Amino acid sequence: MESTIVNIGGLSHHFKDQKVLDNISLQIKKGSIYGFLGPNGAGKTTTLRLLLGLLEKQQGEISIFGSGLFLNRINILKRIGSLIEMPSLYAHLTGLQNLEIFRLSYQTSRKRIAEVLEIAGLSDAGKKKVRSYSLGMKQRLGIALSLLHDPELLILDEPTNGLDPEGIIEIRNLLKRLNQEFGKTILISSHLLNEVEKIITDVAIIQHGKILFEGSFPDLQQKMSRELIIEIEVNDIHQTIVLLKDNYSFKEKDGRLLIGLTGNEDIARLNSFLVASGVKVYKLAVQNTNLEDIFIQIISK
Amino acid sequence: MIKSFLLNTKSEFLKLRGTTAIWLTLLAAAFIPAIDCIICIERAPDMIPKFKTDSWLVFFHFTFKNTAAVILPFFVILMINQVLQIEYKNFTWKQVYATPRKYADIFFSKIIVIHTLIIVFLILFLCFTFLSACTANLVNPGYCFLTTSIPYDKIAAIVTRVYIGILGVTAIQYWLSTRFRNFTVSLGTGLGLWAAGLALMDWDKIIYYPYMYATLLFFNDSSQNHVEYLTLITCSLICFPLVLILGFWNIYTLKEKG
Repeated sequence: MESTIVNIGGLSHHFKDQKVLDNISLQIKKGSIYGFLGPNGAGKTTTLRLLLGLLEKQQGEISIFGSGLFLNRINILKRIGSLIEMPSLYAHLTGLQNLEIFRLSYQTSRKRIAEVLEIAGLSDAGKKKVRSYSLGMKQRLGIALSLLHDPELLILDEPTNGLDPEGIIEIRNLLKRLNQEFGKTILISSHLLNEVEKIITDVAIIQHGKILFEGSFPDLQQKMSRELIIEIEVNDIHQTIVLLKDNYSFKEKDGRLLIGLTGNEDIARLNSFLVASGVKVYKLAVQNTNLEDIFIQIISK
Repeated sequence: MIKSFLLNTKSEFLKLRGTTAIWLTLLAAAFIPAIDCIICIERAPDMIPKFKTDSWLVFFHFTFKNTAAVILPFFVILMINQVLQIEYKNFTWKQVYATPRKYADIFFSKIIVIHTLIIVFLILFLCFTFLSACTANLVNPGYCFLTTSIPYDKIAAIVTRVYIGILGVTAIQYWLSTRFRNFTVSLGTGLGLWAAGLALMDWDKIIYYPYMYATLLFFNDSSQNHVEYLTLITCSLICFPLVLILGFWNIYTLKEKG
């Protein structure tokens, strides 16, 4: 049986009057690539900051490697590598100097710097000042930095944010390699779902501080096969929204509606309902569902 | 634990490479000696008689007077701000707090860096002062710096007094600069408190105002007003650890770090 290395139970958090996490529970298994997905402002970064002890826990339980973060912070952080929001690097220093600073904090051998630069594909860029790095290089250096002490768990907050497609593929391949070759458990948050669906083994979807789905990626795919996303184009989208809002889960996208249904009977029923209500249906098509559609469907409910 | 603290302090020193904090230390230390050297060369007939007796001590007083009263507090306020802004500007606090370091280690390793820079500033200032006097003497042989001995013990005593006098300001400024991301808060508060101190110099309670301790201790040694001297030394030596501990407690109990 796979062991759980991160266990979050009943975690709630608020900033002043605003509740940002509402009783969330997550379990991350050793060896997994855990996608933590949700739109901006859903509570992803808050959760990750709580996991790293950057925010004081208000309510709930956080256990990492079997012990509470508050009681065992230093020992837990020795086993975690992290990249939160954007790479935290000293722009006036070179890549090598940045790694040397954190190497001293992690108390690892000097040869580890060359190793992590090689893993991150930055062996030739170590002597350049970080301010001259592209965003992709900064992200990779941030990941290299998080690998310095050979941690068991990597916590990466939106590591592909702001990258061009080539940069996204590079990071994706790097994470896959870290998981498969080096056995790292990776917790990766993203709001760009198509960027992570190719690598994740497990997934949690968060919206407005609540977990809407948590399970293995195959579970999500199974859910995907049961549920259909229907795209419709109509003459009056506002009227259609009013008609559907009480009985259907949907999302407006580029003047069209994406509606979550569970079978062919549902499609026929929807069409009849709209026509009977005086809406002209120009297009009704079953979408090729991917994680993004499921995500839209889940967060629309 | 000590090894970890030393390694982390070393990493804090590495962060200073090529920063304005280093240049500031060098320029602030050189400023007054350079100006005074020019004055001594340009106005030699007026200046030579002033340095006839106790040449070195009088010249040292001449340069250190303005440094202790103005340059040193300014330097401390600006330099501490710069050292802390390295983390804020690069958004690195969160990475620092996510490393396996004790909060005390993070807080106190930076204060070691800050005090090292202050000591380097004072040493550089002394070097530049000696250089300034020698240069003036080489240009104008009427000075007698090169033929008289330097009273190291007296100079060391004055520098030590002023260093003790600036301790309280370092603790207050460090707390402010660590606590507030916006550098104008610590900078503005520091300069404001220092300027207010200058305005309040005649106030009888000024001996309880840390921003003026360096100035007061420069002008007051134990031979002049022993009671006031002891009060200043005691207040400064109490203020420093007290404010540091309060500052650490404040940072330690912050609900959000980084």
